[in-house]
Amino acid sequence: MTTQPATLAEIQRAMAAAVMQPLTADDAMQTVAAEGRPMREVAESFIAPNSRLTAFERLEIYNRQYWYRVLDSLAEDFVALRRILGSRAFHRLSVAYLSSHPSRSFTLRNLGVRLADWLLANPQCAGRRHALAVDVARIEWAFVEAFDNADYPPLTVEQIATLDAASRLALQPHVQLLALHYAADDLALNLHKQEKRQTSEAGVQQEEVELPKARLPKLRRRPTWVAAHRADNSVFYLRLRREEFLTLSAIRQGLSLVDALETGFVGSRIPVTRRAAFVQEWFARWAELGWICAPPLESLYPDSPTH
Amino acid sequence: MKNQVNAFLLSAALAGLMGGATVAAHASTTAPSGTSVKALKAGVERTSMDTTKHSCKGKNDCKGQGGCKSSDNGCKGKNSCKGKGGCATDGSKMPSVV
Repeated sequence: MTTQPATLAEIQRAMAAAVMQPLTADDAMQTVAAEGRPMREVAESFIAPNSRLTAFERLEIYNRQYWYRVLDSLAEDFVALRRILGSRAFHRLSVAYLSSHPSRSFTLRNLGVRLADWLLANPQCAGRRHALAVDVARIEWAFVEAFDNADYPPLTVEQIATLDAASRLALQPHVQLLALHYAADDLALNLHKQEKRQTSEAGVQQEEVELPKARLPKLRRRPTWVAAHRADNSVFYLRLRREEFLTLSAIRQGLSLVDALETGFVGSRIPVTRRAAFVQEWFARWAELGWICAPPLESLYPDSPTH
Repeated sequence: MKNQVNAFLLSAALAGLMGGATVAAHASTTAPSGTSVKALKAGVERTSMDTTKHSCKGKNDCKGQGGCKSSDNGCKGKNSCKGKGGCATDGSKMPSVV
């Protein structure tokens, strides 16, 4: 009986499965593949040895490179989370997360897109600081989104003059709205500053040094609303009032202007007589920052035929 | 009553939008201190990260971008450190300098 040669797709799948399998504690390739076959056999099925390396050793190079690369990239994007958990716990968390959500995109920029939600569902990975860790993961992911999401032309004075109660607006895609359990934005910013200072003092970052958990100031749970956004090619974090956050969220959801305003003040303690002044101040700031833009045409006319 | 309150809020929102957009349209781009007027109202800036390294992500070649250090460890996570001396991906040793 002759065996059919593997197709390119089959080889690619086998290679990807082997490369994405987590390393051992010694940073070596596992000896048994995910499907239970010896990894040596898997490697030999599509890799030839050379004069210096066996098929297993050649495949192991790619296995290591994949993990070194994704672990480094994740650590780069979640500096504060790593400091809060300590580097060892962060490493374990990263391996567990990346095993659940391996790289699926052409760009490593997207690697951490599910980290905060995954962490929320996996409290054992963060221990006592779980809620804080989720907040910090959200803040750090918001940086990535704010850093390179689109920036559309803001509404012009002429466009604003045509608005009424039923008008629907949109927020710039780079504006990221965060509802947090702690004032974790300040903490994350401080940890970033510390990290930057330590890195610049050390000259070259010592990536292999084990960092213990950072000593944190006493933090009490306090609902905090923050917008991460981009201005002049830098990312900023801006604290919002609860009502401001709710109004912006309603605008993002596509509610009409009057409905967004009503939603924003549900359960509000701001006296009715003072609300108009707040609203005027908020909308003025958003317009000045260029946050408000026109919604995409397809969201206004979802039933219109596409060409 | 509710409609009246909403009408007040709507007027305030539109007045705010108009005022803010007008300021944005006429503001000089830079304050005397050198900081942009927009940035002054933007909140707290995150310490700038190494954006060169960041933008290297997802690209196959970080050569000349500052993302690939030439130490063994620095090669981690970068695809192309070719010619930098740190990555020996075929198991070979670095050629010794003659």
